[in-house]
Amino acid sequence: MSEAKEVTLVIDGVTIKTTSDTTILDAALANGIYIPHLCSHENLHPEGSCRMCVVGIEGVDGVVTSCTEKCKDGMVVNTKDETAEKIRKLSCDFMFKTHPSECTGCPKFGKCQLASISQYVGDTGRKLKANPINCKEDTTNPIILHEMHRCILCGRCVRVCNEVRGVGVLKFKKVNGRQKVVIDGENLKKGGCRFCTACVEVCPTGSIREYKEIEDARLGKTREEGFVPCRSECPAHVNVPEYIRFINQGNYAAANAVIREKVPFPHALGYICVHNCESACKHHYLNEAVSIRNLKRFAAEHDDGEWKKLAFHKPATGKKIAVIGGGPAGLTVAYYGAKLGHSITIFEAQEKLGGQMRYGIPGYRLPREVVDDEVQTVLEAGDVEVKNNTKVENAPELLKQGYDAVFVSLGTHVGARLPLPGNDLEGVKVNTDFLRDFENGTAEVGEHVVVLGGGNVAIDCTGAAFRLGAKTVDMACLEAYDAMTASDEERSWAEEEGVVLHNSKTFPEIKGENGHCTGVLIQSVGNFRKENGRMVFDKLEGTEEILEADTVIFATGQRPSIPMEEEKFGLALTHGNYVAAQGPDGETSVEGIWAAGDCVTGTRSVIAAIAAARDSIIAIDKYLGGEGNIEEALAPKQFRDPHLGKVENFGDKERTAPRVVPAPKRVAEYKTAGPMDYGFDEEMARCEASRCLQCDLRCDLAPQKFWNDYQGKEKAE
Amino acid sequence: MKVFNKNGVDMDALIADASEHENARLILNLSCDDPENCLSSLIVGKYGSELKEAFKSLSEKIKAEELILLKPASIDFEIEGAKVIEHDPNPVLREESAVGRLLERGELRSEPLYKEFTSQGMDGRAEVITDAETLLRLAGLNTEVKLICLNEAGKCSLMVCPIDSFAELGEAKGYLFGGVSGKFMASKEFRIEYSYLSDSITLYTEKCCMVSEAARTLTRAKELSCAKCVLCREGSWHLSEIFNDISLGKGKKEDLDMVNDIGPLINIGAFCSFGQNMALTAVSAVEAFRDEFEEHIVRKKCSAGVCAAFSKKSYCIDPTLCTGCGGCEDECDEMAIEGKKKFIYMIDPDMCSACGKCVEACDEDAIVLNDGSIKLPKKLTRVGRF
Repeated sequence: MSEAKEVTLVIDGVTIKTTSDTTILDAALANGIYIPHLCSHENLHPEGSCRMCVVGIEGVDGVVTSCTEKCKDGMVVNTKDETAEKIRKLSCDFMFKTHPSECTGCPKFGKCQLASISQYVGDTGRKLKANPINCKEDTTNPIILHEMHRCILCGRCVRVCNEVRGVGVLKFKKVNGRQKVVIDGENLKKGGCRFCTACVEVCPTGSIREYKEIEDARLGKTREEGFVPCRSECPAHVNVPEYIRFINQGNYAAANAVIREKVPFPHALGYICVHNCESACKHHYLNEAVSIRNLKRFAAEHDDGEWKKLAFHKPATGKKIAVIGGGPAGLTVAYYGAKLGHSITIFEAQEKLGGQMRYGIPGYRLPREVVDDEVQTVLEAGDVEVKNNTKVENAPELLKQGYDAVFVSLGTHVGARLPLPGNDLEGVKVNTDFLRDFENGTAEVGEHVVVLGGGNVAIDCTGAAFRLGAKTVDMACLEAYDAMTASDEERSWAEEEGVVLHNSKTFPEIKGENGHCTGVLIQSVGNFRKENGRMVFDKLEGTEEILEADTVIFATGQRPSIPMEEEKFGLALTHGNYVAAQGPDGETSVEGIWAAGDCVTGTRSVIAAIAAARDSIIAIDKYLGGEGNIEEALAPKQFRDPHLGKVENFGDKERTAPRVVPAPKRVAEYKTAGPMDYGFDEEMARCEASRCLQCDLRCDLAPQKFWNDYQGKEKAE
Repeated sequence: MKVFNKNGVDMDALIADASEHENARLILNLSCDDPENCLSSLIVGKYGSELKEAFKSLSEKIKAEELILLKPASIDFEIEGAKVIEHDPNPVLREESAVGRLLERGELRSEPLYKEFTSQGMDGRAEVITDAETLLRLAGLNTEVKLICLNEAGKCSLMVCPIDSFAELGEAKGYLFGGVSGKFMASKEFRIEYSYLSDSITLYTEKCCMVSEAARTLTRAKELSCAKCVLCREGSWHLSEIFNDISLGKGKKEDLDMVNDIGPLINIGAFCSFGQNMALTAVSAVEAFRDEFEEHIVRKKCSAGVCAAFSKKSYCIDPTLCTGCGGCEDECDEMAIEGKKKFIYMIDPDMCSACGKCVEACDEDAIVLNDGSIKLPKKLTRVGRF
């Protein structure tokens, strides 16, 4: 190969300097001169098949294909050459004779490159015979939909699948004498498709698309957000595909560093995150979502601390931030606040830091060493002081004491005791107290426990009850089985442990004798719904039954420990005693005070608290005169290989199950046996990571452009 | 004297370039013909041993590491040490880049030219691709003459004609020089050159209808097109449709203008030489036999009596030959054939469009044009009972 030389050529009267390895088309487009082109794509080798980009060159007979022809010194190119224009129009005529004439019914209407080009090239009115492609839509494949009667055979899908991805599940084939793009195999899964949707990304027409459900979920989002749902659905936008790829590459510490870039508790999240990412994971269209949370945990278990060398640490600012409540939100603010150079004081009502990570979620699910380690990392991040067993009565008071800013994150640590007869009988407990006592080793239950409520906290209460020696544990909730707020995973653990579920039930009364509870009256409901935020349901007569109980635990919601009277805590409240906070950063009614976490949103999740707290500390830092920048690159630069290769039945690879301790053993030996779930070993992690569809690779493909995208540039110059 | 191949490539320069590279490969391409006029097959038949010798000598000259024989299954030929790759004859393979892609990816698809005065092939390796006749020339054989596949009444024979002269041909109504991607002429005054256009000459007698011959040729072009570029893929379809419609009596006056409108544009704009030349085949047919085309369109007449749509004859199924297999019924787009298995099938002359598909489908040659002399059953009759 000869080396590229500098060349000067003239295109449409414009003198252009470029190199001899540049095609005429690229040189023209780079200089704002639009030449229609369809089969050409930035990421693909030129093919020269659509004949749209032909141009005239002075001294050369006929026309030249500008997408394949390289620039030469002294070339004089005329993109509007008369013959070239005629050929373009003919090519366009031909393509439209095979393509459905009705555009408005097409899902690609308005985003179709063929329609856009024909608009630019113009109609010749030539009376050619229509040559429609007779083929039905193919909806038998997951994720990707084929409506090949719209195909104009530009071949971009075949090329991207072969050249860029190395998969080759699409190919050309003459079917009954007619050229078509077909699947090389019985279907996409069997043909070895990796479901990366590069074919969808490059298709200029509406021939290869994703199902409406998937495309609709992307409406109003940027490419990056829309293409990578796991990352965009994570409240903290942890770069999921990037860390999974690091695991795939065997660089586990780097995977952990990626997670660290967005959250200060990768390890704890690896145990208990509610994983919105998995709910959004496109793999569930194939079978089940990638087990992302367990991969996160595996990555966090391989933390080598190298990331600390890359973490930012700003010089001391002399500013003081008071953090009320040392749970996930408070610790996040403390962590980044300290790194930004501020002095942090955490006021914690309990003995230890961690909030719900310690006093809500039971230790058999989230080992306390994990919490201790990650809390320690926060304390070592800078100037962080902890005042434990300290309850703050009034938030603005702290400003007067000399703190420059205050962050309120005191969570929801008061359980709701529903107003029903018998709720004050002996043996009736509430979730928050019960779980806190369980953590402190002071909780007790009787033989027969009934938990009221259907969320994840209720599940934790049942688990704790069994571990404390309960013989039977019943759980009653208003929601139907498939509408419970508890996750399927956590509910299945409870079922394994022997919980008896009573769905679609109301509990009008707790029965008692001699001041001690003896049972719960439950009754079936029909038509359970919410109206104006209130539960509305019909009781079904004759369905009453009594669940025997010597312990009843309310797990029917929890609230902040803030007095209802606004003047007491000093901040405007909402919905009773939740802190009223505005905007994503959680500004409160008092200047200099921000709030985030469960005390603002109601009981949510650790990851939601972290995400909101990150926004708050950015705002606080700006308020204190900083730049509000907490972004940091902790992981090494990743090689994102566009080549995926063909893997037969890739789409059928099953989700890897973690090593969960069998129910009887984990209940009986909870004090000595460690966590109930040992996550993934290396082999399992590698296997699971290999299931990732790598949706982020699609972002690396050039977006489709239209003639007016170039026109704008032409005008601007 | 310098040797050029039929695409005008300087073979001596190419060979010199290839011999400077290591691990070069040598490819003898016997799959570059119009399948109806297979010159390579005739050359192999006559010059088989010379070809082997020339191949060997050339492979030594370029120190070829890999030897490939690209040939249709129908040509029985082998060269010691050469790997055989089979592909049906197709003029698309006249382009070296198309051969390169076929070898590289196993698909027939014309490729952007990757050669600029070097022997560098698709994967960067040096390669020399040659057709049979050029290989003989490189060995010093037949350097002053052109070997031609002469096709008379469907029978091919090898003809030798001095370069730059008119071939000595019998009188005929029409000629096709170069086959499917060639040129139709009413006269035989075609100067023979060393190019693919002179690879074959087809003679059409007075019994032939040039409209149906043009239709048949363009249909073949459509089938042979690699279907990559729009102009060739769709162009060959439109051109063959136009000719077939005229032959079926559905022609319109504007049809010939359309051929003259799109043909030259396809000729200029198509991606490879096959597509470019295929369009000229169509244009030349109209130019040389305009009267016959107009006769079909305006007067609804086929003087040669070939196009069944115009004749008083109609297709029928000879009841003494039909075996009741039903193969014809499946082929008929017009639903003009009725019957059932083991019974003599019948054609409804009112519905028949005389497209002739059933004729080809019938293994018994039972479907023929009837001038009234063949007695036909009036109702469904079991095979053998008529």
